[in-house]
Amino acid sequence: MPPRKPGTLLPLEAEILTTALSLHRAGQATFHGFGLAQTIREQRESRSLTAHGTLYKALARLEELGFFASSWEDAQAAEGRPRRRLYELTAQGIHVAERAGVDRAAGRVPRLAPGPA
Amino acid sequence: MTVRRATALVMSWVRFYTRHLPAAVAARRAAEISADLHDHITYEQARGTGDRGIALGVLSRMVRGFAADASWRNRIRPWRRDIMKSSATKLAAAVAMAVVGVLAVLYGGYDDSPGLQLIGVLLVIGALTIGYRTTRRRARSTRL
Repeated sequence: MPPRKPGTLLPLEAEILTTALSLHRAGQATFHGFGLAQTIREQRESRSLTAHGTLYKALARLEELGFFASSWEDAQAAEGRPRRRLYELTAQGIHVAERAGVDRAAGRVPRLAPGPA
Repeated sequence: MTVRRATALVMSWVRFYTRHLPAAVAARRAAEISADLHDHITYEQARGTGDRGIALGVLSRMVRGFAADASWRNRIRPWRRDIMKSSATKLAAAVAMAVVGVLAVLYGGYDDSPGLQLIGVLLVIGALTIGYRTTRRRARSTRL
């Protein structure tokens, strides 16, 4: 992962936020780790999935920052398979994801907080 | 390498880097990776991917995430210096390096990437050197 500039999001973090926002807008309020990795792979048209360590470290940081809330899936819904950790964008996360999308489209480094125009 | 062995290796790695972390943190990471592995394997099997391809995909995700796992672990609870300097840790690192090297050679062959295979060979040579030097130093210190 590239080094982080203070007050900015790493490219993967911005990608996770914008992907979560697109899922949210499509009516999918929650997502899980593998589902997110798979969606990112499709968007990138890549052959490989995001690595476990990279993905869950980024998700943990975004949750610590208050952009995601997470909870365990109900045991009944899991139907015998391992329960998934379900992530959901918070109101603050939606706001930051929208701005990250604009920054990425403009070729700017996505920021954590609004900066000078 | 079978899918079962690949998943066992990933879970062993998770247990290793979550050692000495608060139980809830370690359990959450292990459960998340376990669910991810299950979803990944189920998805690839439904697509008709062969066992070897699935195993390599799983191992590739583990190997590419090594640095992020170590940095996440270090942020929650820094690695202790005595652990980092112990012969056992150095030998474990050499074994892990050798495994990564062998996987890079295999994955490079599977993906037709001679550059990755060369990196794999260099990693194996490096691992053997570290293993040899650590074993020699340990034997010398035991004799003294």
